[in-house]
Amino acid sequence: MPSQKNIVSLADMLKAHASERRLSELPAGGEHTILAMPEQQGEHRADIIRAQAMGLQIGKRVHILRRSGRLMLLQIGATCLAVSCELAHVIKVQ
Amino acid sequence: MSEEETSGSSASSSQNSPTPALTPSTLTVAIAGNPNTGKTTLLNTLVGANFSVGNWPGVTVEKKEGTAVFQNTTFHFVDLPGIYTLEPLSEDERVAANYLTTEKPDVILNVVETPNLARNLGLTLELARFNTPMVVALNMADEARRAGLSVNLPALEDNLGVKALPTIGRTGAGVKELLPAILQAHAQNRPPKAIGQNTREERQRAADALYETIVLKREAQGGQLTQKLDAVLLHPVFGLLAYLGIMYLFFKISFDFSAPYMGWLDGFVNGFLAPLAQQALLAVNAPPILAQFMAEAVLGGFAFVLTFLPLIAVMFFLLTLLGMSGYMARLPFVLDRFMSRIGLNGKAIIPLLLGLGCNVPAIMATRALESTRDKMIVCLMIPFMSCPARLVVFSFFAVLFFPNPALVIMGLYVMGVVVAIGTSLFIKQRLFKNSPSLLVMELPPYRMPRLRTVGAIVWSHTREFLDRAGKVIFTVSVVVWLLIHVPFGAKPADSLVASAGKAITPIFAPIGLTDWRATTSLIPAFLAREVALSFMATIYAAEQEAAPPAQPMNVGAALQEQGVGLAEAVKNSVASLFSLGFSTLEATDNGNNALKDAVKSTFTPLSSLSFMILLLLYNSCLAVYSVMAKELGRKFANWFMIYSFIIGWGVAFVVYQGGKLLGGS
Repeated sequence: MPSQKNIVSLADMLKAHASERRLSELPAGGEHTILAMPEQQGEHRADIIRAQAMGLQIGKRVHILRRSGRLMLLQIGATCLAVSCELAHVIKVQ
Repeated sequence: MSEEETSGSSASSSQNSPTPALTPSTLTVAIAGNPNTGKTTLLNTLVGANFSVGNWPGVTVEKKEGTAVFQNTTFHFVDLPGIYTLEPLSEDERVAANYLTTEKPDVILNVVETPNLARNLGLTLELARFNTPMVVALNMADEARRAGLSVNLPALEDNLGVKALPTIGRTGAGVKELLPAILQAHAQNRPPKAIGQNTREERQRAADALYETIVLKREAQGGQLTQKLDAVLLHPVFGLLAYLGIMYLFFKISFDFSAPYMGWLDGFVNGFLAPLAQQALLAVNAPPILAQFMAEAVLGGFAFVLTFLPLIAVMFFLLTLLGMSGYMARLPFVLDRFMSRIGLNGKAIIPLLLGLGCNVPAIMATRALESTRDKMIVCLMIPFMSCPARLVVFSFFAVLFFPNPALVIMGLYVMGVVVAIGTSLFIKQRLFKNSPSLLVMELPPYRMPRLRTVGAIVWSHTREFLDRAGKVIFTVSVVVWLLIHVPFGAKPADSLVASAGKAITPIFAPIGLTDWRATTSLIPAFLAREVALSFMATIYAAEQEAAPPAQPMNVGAALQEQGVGLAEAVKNSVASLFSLGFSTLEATDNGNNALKDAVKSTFTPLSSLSFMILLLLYNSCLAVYSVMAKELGRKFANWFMIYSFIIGWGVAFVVYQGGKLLGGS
């Protein structure tokens, strides 16, 4: 029989999973924490590595300043980045 | 440290240039850091150079070198393109990473943007992997202070095992203190401490931890002005309107502000300097034909270029302002939607815009584009962006043949853009089926450009333009003048040059260019576009009989007249800034020049338009061909030469024959 502690932990996990969203799906104005940013083995792998080097890293707070067409304007600390929505789609935030 | 203690010199070098042989008292110092941290500004201050700087990532795409002497040691600085990581993802980053890996500098000068220290420290830790003595310049220290950021320098030095100094590149504060620090780091030969060395994640965690340790105070972030400006300039509608407005002002100020000075310079050279030179030569018993050649062909040819110097200087000034203010870095965001329609991401707009200044650095700037696909497409679009050298010829012909020359010139600019877009779509369809790279780009904060720095960069560009044009024009003028007299004693129309010109004229006859003097000028125009004019000047001057000696000039009175003309030009140029519409460039047409009369009798408005279109689109120039061959390969550059000639000829044909059908002449 699962313990009370385990049930709470599972609930937290489910809750966290439910609140996990793709960055590209979120409107402007919000502030989120980056949870995951997989380095895909594909033609856009280099773009993701570059984005990480520019400051889009797991655990960092990201503020969506503006959305415009297929681009998003993000603020991470003192860095302001223009990122395509396609790239933002692989970034999971909470 | 006194100014006398240091002296410097500078040189730009390509990726493959060898490092000069170094004496034991020479230190090689690699300047490395994230893009847009002010590395080139520091280099300019350290060595007294005027390398182009800008407030946008990718302004430096190849390493730049300069030397400074301090305490009997020569510092050989190598300014590397900005990098975010030592995993090179684009060609400019590869230049930097390769240099650090293979050249082994004596000291690394790591320039960091202090207001953005958290992000910059990641690269600092990567640089520490080289086990090379390092000095950290905490640049833009003033901005950090304004943003409420305070750095514990001793803690930073202890943790990293390096010397760290605050600097302000814009004003030069703290920059000269870097020299003794570099010297000391080299003498101690102590490599930086290794922290978070293994994986990228480990390094980033270590950089974050280091940041938490060394930053003493973090108040509310600054950047209020940037956010307010961005609310308008990056707005989907207002941003586009602002862009169109800024481009309108760019061309309006370029043309209208410079037109009065161009008119004055034209009069000064042709109405004062040339007759004075002719008079002086005749006074020392030079043959009249030689005096006429010097005055009309050599000096006259150079004068045509000199006349357009105000226009070129104003264009460079405005381009530099756009770059240094931080606005240029935002254009990819504003225009991404439009650029995506032609199969590129917004970042491609920067090299295209730089093409308005000069196609050569614009093609080199494509190194900052990540994908080979984007780089190739943009490289092939750039030569259709009209540069100031072409503008010189356009302005001359447009003023001569059209009532509203500004409209004609704008039309040619637009035509260049349309052909560039068509080329992009054609290349994309034929060669590349894959999608463009994903855009990820840093937008720096807006910064007020220092007029002194802007002035130094503009001066550097205009001097280079004058130097190049002067040398090429003088050489071409002399060679053509000599060739036009071969075989000796023959009339110009029977000369070797004329025979060559007549042989190629049938190719150009369908586009309205039936005069051998016009068609032949297209050949030297491949060296530099503006040479077409000096070439014509030389031929027309050679065809004329030697003029009888003019009445001696009253130099004092003539100078006074020129002074009054200059004052009038200043008044008119300032007044032009307060009018909304485009003034025309009529001020440059004083109609007293032999070349203008000769060209008027050779061309019609329609054939002059055809000639300008050909000059806009065909083959670009030798320098562009060379840099394209270097970036894309000779085969590709050769293919482009053929392609652009066909396009240039084809468009000129349609315009000329279409114009004729509509009753034009």
